[in-house]
Amino acid sequence: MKTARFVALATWVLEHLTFGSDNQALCGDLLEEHRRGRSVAWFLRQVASAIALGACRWAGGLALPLIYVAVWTMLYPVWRIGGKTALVYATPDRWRALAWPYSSLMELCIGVVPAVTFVWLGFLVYLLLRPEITRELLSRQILWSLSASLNVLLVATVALLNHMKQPWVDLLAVTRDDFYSIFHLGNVSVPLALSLLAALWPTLTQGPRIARRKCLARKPISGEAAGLGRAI
Amino acid sequence: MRDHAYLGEFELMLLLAIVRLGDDAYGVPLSRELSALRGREVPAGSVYAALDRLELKGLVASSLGESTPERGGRAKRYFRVTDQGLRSLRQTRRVLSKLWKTLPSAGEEHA
Repeated sequence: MKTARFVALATWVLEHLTFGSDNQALCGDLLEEHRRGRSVAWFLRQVASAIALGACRWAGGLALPLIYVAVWTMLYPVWRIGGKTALVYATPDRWRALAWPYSSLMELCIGVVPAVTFVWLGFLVYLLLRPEITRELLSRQILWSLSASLNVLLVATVALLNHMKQPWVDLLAVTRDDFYSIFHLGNVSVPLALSLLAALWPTLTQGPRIARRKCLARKPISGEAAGLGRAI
Repeated sequence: MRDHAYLGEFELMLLLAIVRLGDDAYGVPLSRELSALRGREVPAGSVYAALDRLELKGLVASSLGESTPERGGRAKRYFRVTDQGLRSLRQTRRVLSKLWKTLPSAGEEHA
């Protein structure tokens, strides 16, 4: 009874800890072997090895997006000097002269919008560079990405301002220039990188499934491959 | 897919095992076949990892088969070698045959 419980638990873990792979057939194979006399220790070893392999493959797939996030974040000073200036000074004067609390909200928006556009632009460029992923992404997943990146950016920015409050930033009098200043590039890179990573998250978890769906959708194999026994 | 992408040792053995098993090429017999060929146990997870890689390269194709009670109701995933996989196998055999010819025979080696 205890043995059966171990096997059921290991099967459940293998089916749910997939790292983007489909482990249903593998689970079936392991159960089949177990029912034919393989020990529980063998079963658990196989499950552990399959999960470890899946985790390694998944981690390997993370390398490219992580490098992209790091490189894109390093471009922020260029954006800050060029893009941010254009965005800030495109704001009509009457918006800047609003009464409190609208004036503070406006400062917040003007401070955050350049960073949001920088992150979203990074997400867009990534999708353009990986068309095989873009084609398979649903519009709601893209909206989820944009929304998640905005939320992560706002939360991380609040945490960053709180971290930097002494001696650099006075939280009671935050101005648009206090947001993502290139004088604290090391610090401001953190919310930007986290936000871009949040935007890319659906593409990281979808990757292996997309590839598998593409394979399943391939045309059926021809007669030559069907008669392999003779052909090789 | 590049035509000159040669197969690694494990991938080559896996493709040949699929060919050998024919219509019965799914995880369990494939793992057994490979374990017998290599003389040690091959984890089923690594067999599936290699099969997924080969499927992404377009060298094998898979389809879901029947599910049995002894598998806990889970379907078998059958594999077949594609035309591209077949070409790759032949190409690898050609290259390996050329290389084997350069190996000195046992008599020459000791001379």
